[in-house]
Amino acid sequence: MSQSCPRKLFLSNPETKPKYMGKISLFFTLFSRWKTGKWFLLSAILMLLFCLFAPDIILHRIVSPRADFSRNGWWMLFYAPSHPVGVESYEVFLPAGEIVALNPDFKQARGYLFWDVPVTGPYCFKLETDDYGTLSVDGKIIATMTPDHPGKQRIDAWAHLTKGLHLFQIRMRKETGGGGFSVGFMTPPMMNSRILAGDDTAVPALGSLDFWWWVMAVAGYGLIPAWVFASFCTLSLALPLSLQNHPVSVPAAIAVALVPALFIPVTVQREPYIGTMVQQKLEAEKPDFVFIGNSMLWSRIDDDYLGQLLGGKKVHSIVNFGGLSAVHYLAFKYLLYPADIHPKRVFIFFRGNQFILPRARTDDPFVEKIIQRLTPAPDPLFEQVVHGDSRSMTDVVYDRLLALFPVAAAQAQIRKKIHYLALIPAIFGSTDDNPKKNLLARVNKRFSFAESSFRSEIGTESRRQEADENSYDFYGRVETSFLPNMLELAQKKHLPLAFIRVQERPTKNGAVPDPAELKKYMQDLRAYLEEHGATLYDFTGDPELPLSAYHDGDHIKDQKKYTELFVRRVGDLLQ
Amino acid sequence: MSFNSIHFLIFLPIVVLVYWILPRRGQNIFLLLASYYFLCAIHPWFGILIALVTTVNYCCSLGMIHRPGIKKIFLISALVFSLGELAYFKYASFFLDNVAALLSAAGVPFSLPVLAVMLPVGISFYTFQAIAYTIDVYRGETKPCANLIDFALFISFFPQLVAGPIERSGHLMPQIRRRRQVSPEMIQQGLLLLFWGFFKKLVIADNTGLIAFKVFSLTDPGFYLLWSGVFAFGIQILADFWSYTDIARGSALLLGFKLSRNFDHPYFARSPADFWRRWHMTLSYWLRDYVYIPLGGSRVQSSFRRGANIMITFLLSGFWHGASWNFILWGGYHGILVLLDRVLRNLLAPVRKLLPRQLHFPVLAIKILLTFALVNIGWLMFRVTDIQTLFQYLQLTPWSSTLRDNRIAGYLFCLTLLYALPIFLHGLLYFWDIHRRGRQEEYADILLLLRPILAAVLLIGILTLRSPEPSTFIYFQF
Repeated sequence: MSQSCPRKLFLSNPETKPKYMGKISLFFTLFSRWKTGKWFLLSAILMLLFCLFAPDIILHRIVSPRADFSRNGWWMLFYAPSHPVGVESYEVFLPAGEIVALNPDFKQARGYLFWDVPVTGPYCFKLETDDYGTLSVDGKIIATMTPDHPGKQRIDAWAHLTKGLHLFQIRMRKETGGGGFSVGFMTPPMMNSRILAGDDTAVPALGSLDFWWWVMAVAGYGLIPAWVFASFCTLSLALPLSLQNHPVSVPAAIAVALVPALFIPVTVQREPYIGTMVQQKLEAEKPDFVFIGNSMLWSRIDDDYLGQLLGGKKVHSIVNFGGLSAVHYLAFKYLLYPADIHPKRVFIFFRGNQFILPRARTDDPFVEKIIQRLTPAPDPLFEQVVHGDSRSMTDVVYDRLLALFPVAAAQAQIRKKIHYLALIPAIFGSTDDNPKKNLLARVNKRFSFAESSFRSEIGTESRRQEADENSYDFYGRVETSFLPNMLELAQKKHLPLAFIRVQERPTKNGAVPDPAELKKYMQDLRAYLEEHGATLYDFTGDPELPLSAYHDGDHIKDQKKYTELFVRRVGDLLQ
Repeated sequence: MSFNSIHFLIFLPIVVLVYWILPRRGQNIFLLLASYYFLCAIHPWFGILIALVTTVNYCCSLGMIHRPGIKKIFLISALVFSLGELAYFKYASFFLDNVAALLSAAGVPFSLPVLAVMLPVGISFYTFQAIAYTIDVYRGETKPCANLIDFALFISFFPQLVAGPIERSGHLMPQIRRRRQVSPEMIQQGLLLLFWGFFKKLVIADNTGLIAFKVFSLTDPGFYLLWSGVFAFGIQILADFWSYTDIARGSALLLGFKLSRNFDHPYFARSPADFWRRWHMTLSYWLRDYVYIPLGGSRVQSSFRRGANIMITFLLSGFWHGASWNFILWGGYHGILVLLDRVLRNLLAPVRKLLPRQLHFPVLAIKILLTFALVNIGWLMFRVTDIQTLFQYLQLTPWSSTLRDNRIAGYLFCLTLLYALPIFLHGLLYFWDIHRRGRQEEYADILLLLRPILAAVLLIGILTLRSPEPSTFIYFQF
């Protein structure tokens, strides 16, 4: 080792100065000397300070004071690289509350809007577009819509906002045809959402804000948490430089290097608990009837209209899209049960044999988020029923690790991206409209048990699970479901429960799906519910529900008509 | 106890901590107890079996010194016991099944008792290690170990107990006998090997293993789909076995031991013979020293004998992997490849001299790719245990595949390639490094600054990319 560079970073073999490592080594040589290393260290510290403080300074000192509340809406920037008359881009003000349409000539759009948030709390924003789109709040992306879907889709994203001014950005890229987007928000319960509009919104007076937006995003609010990177650089540099040949240097350096993993990505966190807000709302409304269900309920019952039909009674629906029995149980236990209200009846909408399938759809990422919102902490019964016999020690430790390293929660997203990356070469030359999606569907079909293309000895466990889902043995399974606990809670609080089985979509020839084994299941369910003081009404076979009454799947076309039918059929339960 | 279990993550830090607190005399006893606990955690009977192998080989090796006149009897006794135990637990069912099949094919009605014998974990590895030791003592190449604790630890040292590397007494025994010291350098290398090992297992092997499992589960994979599955299996088995070795070496380094390397980027091999110098190196060297060379090796005059020696060695290698015809076929296939390689090398030697310098790299690349393709054909034989199905697969032609399956195959191939990228990048960097400055010990010269970065990247990789369906190590079954 030469005398001129006494602070080299090598722990061993100092003779192997990185001269042999060629050009790449030049970069690391810089780090290997204190003389130059200290400048890197200083730069990293400055970068860290910038990342920590710049976003707030920009948002609160530069951008927000210039919000123009005289115009309530979006400041939009449209791009049209292939516009026939040569217009490449233009900026325009669009009033909030309108659905923004994107002319086929324009490929991309970007818009900014301020919203003066009235109350601190969790807000659910919904982004509706028919192509690619992102929604960001204060520089942080909270919702991303990928373009692999046909037609318009909605995506929900939660953000915890403090009272005061917040900056929203929408980005949209059109794939085919026309396009458009709307941004709405809702406060719990997940009904009655509205498009972001009103006097609380403002456009930025600084035009499109592109420059400041990117400074904020780079500084740490947005895409890559640069402050994480800066901390990493600072600590990774500082530690080796200071510890040098000390025996603990490497374990310490590794520990420090892992620190960023504690924070990446900052957006993936447990969903906020909405129970308190819902309870407050229920207590303020004091509804006579409460409905719990998923989209089956949402497409069938109109709260306000039902209230009118019942002569001014108050109706409140708690809808959790995609939820099945586990979600209904959690909604009942954590939203309704703790609220200081005494509705005349609680209606629970369901389909098929879901009440003896407690694990059904609980591992869906979308439903997992709903479950997080419904529970302030993991529910013991839910954990026992859903994970009880399958959670190994590894799972428990992994959960702890997940709590420590939020980055692990991005596993599903990252895997998805890798799979999409692998699709790119595989669809080369494909003439399909949506080749990625089609190929993925083909892959899933090829490796599906339903296709019976697997060797007989393969997947016995998966086959058993599939068989389980087709089980209708009510008494054999009810004790390991959520139903007994739900009925017990209802009895404890004197809440009369009514279970409403909705009719599934009839076939083209008008036949209603109602297998014989389900009839036996329904008989058992009815007997069980009545034994525990609850009621069951079955809409299956109702003559007023032909195929024409249905929209898509089992959803009903006309909410109001069904609400009227509901009153006619179960009027005695609505007294 | 498996390396990829949570128990091991608790077990290892405790062992390392207690081990370094203890005085030198207590360290070996503690390590021996820990090793037996490690094995008995899988099944208590496995501990008794390894204790028997240890005792017999220990007594026989000491007997050779005290009674040199009958040392051959001691050697034969040790070999008969060790190989007999291996034969009973690993090959008895296979042998009886085949005898029964042969007799029934000959029209002789014959029924044999069904042997429901559980294969003891790691039996092939520690038996070979014990045999090598006893033969070395017989040859006078190593002094017998008088201390039973030290010898028992040599046979059962937990990091390499279940799936190697198969250590030689000349390498591991001196480390057991002397006072161990650990340097920051060893801790760094050990931790890096652990991180890299877990990454290879949990991310690369388990993810590609899932692809291979699905493809080989199909009743009718087309040509391209089948070979995309074979490619995935090729990556899986490399990552799986290599990861085990890395975790073993990393754990041993934390305890102050240096275990042998078992892999040297085998998919960058330029010939089948080169592949065996890079794949499962400790087994290759074992077979070379205790089978191939005693048979006469390449020193015999007759080219037929030379070829036969190679074939015997490779058939034994295949048979060592498992009691099944497909493994024997796989060993034979590699033997033929090595023989063909030798013949071609002799034939093409004059052409090679005429090759212009500019073509050296393209020819090298072609050699590597060709070897990789040939090795993958071997993996098909390794993976498919049913011989009839194997021949059906080998008869598949590219024209038998549908366009739909071809695209799926392309997707699975790319997916495997993405997961395997770190292994290939590691190989490229490694060879680039060697090319620049000659061979160095792995990771020895990575800058301190890079080590935490690498460790962090690997840990984040494990957390975010690990397979949702972890699997056991493939070589556990051998």
